[in-house]
Amino acid sequence: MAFASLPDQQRLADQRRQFFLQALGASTLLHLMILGGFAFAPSPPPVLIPAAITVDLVAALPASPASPASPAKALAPPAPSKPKVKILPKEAPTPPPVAKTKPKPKSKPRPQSPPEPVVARRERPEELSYEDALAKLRNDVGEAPPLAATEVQASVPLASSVQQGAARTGLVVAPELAAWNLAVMRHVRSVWITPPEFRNRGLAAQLDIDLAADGRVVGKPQLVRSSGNPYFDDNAVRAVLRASPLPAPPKAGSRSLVFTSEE
Amino acid sequence: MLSRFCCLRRLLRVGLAVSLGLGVGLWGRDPCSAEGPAVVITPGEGRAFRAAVQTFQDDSVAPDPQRAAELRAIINQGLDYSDVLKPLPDDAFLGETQTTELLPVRKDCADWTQSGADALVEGRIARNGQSWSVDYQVWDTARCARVGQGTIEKPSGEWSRLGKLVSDAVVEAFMGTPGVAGTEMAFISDRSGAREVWVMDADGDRQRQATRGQSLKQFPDWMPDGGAILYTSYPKRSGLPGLYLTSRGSYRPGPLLTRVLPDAPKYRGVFGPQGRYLALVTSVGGQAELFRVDRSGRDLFRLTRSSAIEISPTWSPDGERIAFVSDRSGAPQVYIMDRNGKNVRRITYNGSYNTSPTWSPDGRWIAYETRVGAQFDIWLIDPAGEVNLPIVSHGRSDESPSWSPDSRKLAFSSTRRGRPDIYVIDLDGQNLRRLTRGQGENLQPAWGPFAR
Repeated sequence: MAFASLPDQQRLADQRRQFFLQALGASTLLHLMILGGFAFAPSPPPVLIPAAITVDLVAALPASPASPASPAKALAPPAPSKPKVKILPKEAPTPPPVAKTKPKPKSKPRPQSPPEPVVARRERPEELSYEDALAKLRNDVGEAPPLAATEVQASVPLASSVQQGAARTGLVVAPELAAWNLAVMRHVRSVWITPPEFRNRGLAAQLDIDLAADGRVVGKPQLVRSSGNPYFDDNAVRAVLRASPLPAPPKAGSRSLVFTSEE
Repeated sequence: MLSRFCCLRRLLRVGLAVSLGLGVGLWGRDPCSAEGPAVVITPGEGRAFRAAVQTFQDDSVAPDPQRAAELRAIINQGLDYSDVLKPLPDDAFLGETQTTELLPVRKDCADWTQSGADALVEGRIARNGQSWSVDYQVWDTARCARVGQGTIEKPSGEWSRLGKLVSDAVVEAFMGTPGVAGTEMAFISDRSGAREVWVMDADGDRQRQATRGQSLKQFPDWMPDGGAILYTSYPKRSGLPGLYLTSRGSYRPGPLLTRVLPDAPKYRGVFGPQGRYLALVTSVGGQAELFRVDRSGRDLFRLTRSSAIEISPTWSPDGERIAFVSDRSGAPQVYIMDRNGKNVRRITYNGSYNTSPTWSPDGRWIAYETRVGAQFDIWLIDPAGEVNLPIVSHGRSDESPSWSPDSRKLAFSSTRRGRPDIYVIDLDGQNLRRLTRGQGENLQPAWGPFAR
């Protein structure tokens, strides 16, 4: 080979380049197919942003008096507990001391609206790191992030408690979106009739809705993820239709609503 | 996860589109089109739905406006009793109050939603020989969709029953679980002299005697399909308690399990959820013990083996576990075991005396009696033994809780008005109703299954 003439060497190089190009093409195609599969695979279930987190950013806005940690508790109907039952027998004399002393320690209220898990979830470290990663990614690509929590402090006059809350959670949710989410949650909840059969049964249904700029629900809500209980699903659709028009969204378009049976 | 995941995917897609220069990444419906995080909606108020019940059209040869109005009133009362779909008040009606025709589509849904009606009920009454038949349709007004329809037929004498069954069917069409207005309750009453088994509608209507014979009867328990009632009788001749069935025809009435432990007293039998097995309380060596046995007498299996008394079994709705009362700790307490007698654990720790457990049909609660001083209150505890709360407390005794088949109500006997009577209360402590009054002692209610 060393003695090959110049044209020979040229041909050899050509062949190599051609082979390389073919290999490169095949490899690129393969990569694209894999990436394409990833990009167009069916979407996973949506993240359930607990209402309490959303609340935290906006709850202390002057317009909304709810305290950051308590809305879920405040909105949830009180669990039937001892006092309620005691009202019932009007002619009841005070129960003997046995009833008062013994049952009490075990008479926990129903664990329907415990505020603790909300706090626990809020401080889950992986959430933060994921957010950080995402923010970094955005920076790398130069995509303008939605109004970040840090910017909220600078641009919107918020109560200091809210700033603390925002800093603590590090959530990247635009405040107007968070406020809207909360308003929608309250509004839909107020018309969503949830009898005992639909409470705390581990059910969750996701509906996608198209919203006009004025908050009207356009067309029919799409059941994206069934709870497995058709009546629960039906009831969620019913609630959305009854709730329309929703509070006007920051932007018209499609939104997801997740109805959960957990209080 | 979605929003973040979506953003990554979106970036990737944009990258792909650019690199290919084809814009492939942007076709079709974007699965991430729902912007921002999903709004999570947690359960709102537990208030009841509203149903507008029209006056049904009377198609019989001699239509009687009174008849249709009466049926409507019965249906509304039934809805009121079940407390799931409450009747829409008459003055709230914006749409037609009278059914004219049962059509598969309708255009007036907006009228009904504006009235505050979640459901609309319309129907037609027809005479069919010696019986009445009712066709009904149930509409979801928000979606403007028909969610249920059917025909119910009953002999002329059971007009009110017909209305209650329609009412329960309406609830079922809307909720998936029927109402309980048409259900029945068995109980023990001595109003005829001896303690006999009696049956009444869940609202106290139509109280009637189911057994006769002047021997003492106790512990009525329904066959899960509602075709028979099991009870314990103490015949005067032998004095040995045994199990008996009283039947509506689908089962052979009379003594049950006569060949099983023939010389032992059988204090009580409780049907499992399928009606095939019974939990049996009998006596071995002078101690009450629990057995499990096939209804035909096969597969006798001893569940408890202790020097203590074991009584009052109740099955979990899946038939896998049995709660019962044992005094092995020194005083009666509620325990749970697997259906093979394994994994016994105590769940009640209220005071020193807890008894009469009954597992709710939805499996979430066990109602039981707890002694407070010289009387009993009714409490609920979850099968894990973690949540424990009073449901009926009164200075006088409340005993023998029994669940409605929809697990929304409890029947019990109470001495709050002197002699024991049967009462019903909602799980949230509301809507106390007295079902029996002024007729002897009324005890041990046993709520039957959903009506059919």
